[in-house]
Amino acid sequence: MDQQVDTIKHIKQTISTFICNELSVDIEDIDSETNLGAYGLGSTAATILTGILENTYQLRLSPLLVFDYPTIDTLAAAINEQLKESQELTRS
Amino acid sequence: MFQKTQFTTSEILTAVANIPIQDSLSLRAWLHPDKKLFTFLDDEGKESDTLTYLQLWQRAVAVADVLKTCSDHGDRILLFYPQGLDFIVAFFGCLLANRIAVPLSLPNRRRVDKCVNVMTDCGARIAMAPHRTYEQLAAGFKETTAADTQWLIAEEIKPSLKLPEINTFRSLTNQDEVAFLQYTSGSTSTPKGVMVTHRNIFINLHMMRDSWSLDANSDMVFWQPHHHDMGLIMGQLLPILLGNHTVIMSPNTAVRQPSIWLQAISRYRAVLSGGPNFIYDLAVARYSETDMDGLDLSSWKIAPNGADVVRLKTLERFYATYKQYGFKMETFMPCYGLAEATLFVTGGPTRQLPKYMEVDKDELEVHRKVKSVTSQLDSRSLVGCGEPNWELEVAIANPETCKECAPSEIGEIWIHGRSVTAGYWHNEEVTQKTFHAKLQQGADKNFLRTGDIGFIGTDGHIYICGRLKDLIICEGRNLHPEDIEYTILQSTDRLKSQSCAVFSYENDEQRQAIVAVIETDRDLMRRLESEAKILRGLIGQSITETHGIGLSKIVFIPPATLKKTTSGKVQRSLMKSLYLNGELEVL
Repeated sequence: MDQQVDTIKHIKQTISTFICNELSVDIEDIDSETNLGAYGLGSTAATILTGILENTYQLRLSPLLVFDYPTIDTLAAAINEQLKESQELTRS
Repeated sequence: MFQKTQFTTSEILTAVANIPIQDSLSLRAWLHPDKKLFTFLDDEGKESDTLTYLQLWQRAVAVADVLKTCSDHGDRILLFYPQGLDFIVAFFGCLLANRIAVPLSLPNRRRVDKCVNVMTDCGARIAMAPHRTYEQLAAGFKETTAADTQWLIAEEIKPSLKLPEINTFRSLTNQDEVAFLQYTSGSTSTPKGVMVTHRNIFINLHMMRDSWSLDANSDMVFWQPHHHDMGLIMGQLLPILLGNHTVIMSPNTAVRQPSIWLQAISRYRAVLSGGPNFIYDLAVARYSETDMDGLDLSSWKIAPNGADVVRLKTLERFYATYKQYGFKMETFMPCYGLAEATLFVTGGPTRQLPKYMEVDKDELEVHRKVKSVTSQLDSRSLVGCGEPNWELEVAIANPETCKECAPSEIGEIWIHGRSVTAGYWHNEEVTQKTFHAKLQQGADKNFLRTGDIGFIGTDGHIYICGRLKDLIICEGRNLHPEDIEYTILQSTDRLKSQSCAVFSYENDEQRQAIVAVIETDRDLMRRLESEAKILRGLIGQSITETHGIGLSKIVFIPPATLKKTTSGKVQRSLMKSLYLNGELEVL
């Protein structure tokens, strides 16, 4: 369970870091329940973020994921779900 | 008529530089029917579709046959296609049937107004799309003026069984007729369709071929979308003039995983591939040794960098990262072009290191003068965008007096030549102003006013310094500030009928920042303390949803402090300089 919490935290951090660096938003201004569009995440930036998340977590993500889960909380949860699935797949 | 049986290489080269591109397709479908023309790569970089020269011709002929039964010569046909090989089939179908193709980007499900305005502007009654796209779009058009559009479903048109014949490749097409309309220049409320003629296309294509010494062995990899002039002209029409093999992928694939783009260049031994400046930055930022396993970029001879500001730092970083894989600095091809001139204007010569200048920022931005500097302080590096092709005459003119500028003076870039397009569709007034400028009073020669500001360097290269008007160029796309301002004011009721100004500047890290300055009234000013955060959120979200870009900063200013002209027009450049000089009172 603790590991789960850590993974979600890590994913959230990856997203926040991207918002902070790529969109020049102060880290204190980033809120995990705010729509990412509010920080200026346009379609190109969303695609770049998808690619970074794919590489960081060794996953293949839908290009629409960021639009379907548009906050840091929901996006991190969705990626965590996919991560669990892929880990179960490798185990079996 | 006396029939030919074969073509020498020289004959082919001359022919394709003198006939409409659809006739070149017919000729090549006869000359080398089974040669692979296009390969499409899916999101993972795997081959998912191919077209030979004959297959494209047969499928396009079938589309043309259908169009001839349901439309008239010169009718506009809207093309709604996701990136893939079906688009080019429909496009050539239009050209072979002498219908005017209108390639459009797929609208966001909820925001079809721009599309509807274009449909009204060009007066199209017929649209083509794959079945899935049609289903997604048709619902959005209900209850708009575009509701009674007739749809042709791409999958329902089966390839023709005809074979090309050498005596019929030359069509009766009038070369000065419009081949397609390029709608990337106008704003949402006033779309502007650039009328590109058959002659414009083959002239511009042979300009690229000759300026860059390309031939049938110059294979390419392209990811730019086909509704953009670079993606269509360079990515999908140039291959047919050259007779090469071209690999296409979706923009999303290259942006999500730049390694798939670079690996495709390596795998297909591409000679030509490129994009706007940001893709090179991205390829550096996302570099990982494992993704580049086996990468060999030694075949890559020409890497166009255009449609946006070309940055020296980007070129240097990309070279530093990828030289170990055989990439050469001489491969970079900074270039300049615009849809109003079909596409290509300057770029090259080939096999030379990029040229650049360090110029005094103040002299450049305030006095429009070029002054070379040696110290890095207060300087701006500009990258030379090459020489024009011999087909074109390029002049730098003072935008107010319309006289040619002195050397080292900055002015508007003016162009004369056979690839300058016929103007804007059904917009005589703006066409006159933009396309029929004269350097001398009473002269016959018409020049295109590009609206871009630049100068010719002592090294003979053209240097681009910015836009005459307030147009914002972001990720290779043109954005009209009035469209963004409109969206801001519509984004929430809490703003009511305020005014705002949107502009873009380059920050200290050479990155683009787009700023919105919103004027408050007394009521909003009072509410601001508690509502500013939520307002910023709503505005930001609405802008990214509508325009696909992000605002870097949203600032509020006191009532009646937004600068306007006497006729009530927002003075964006004045607001920009106040903001940058810290002279703006911000709430």
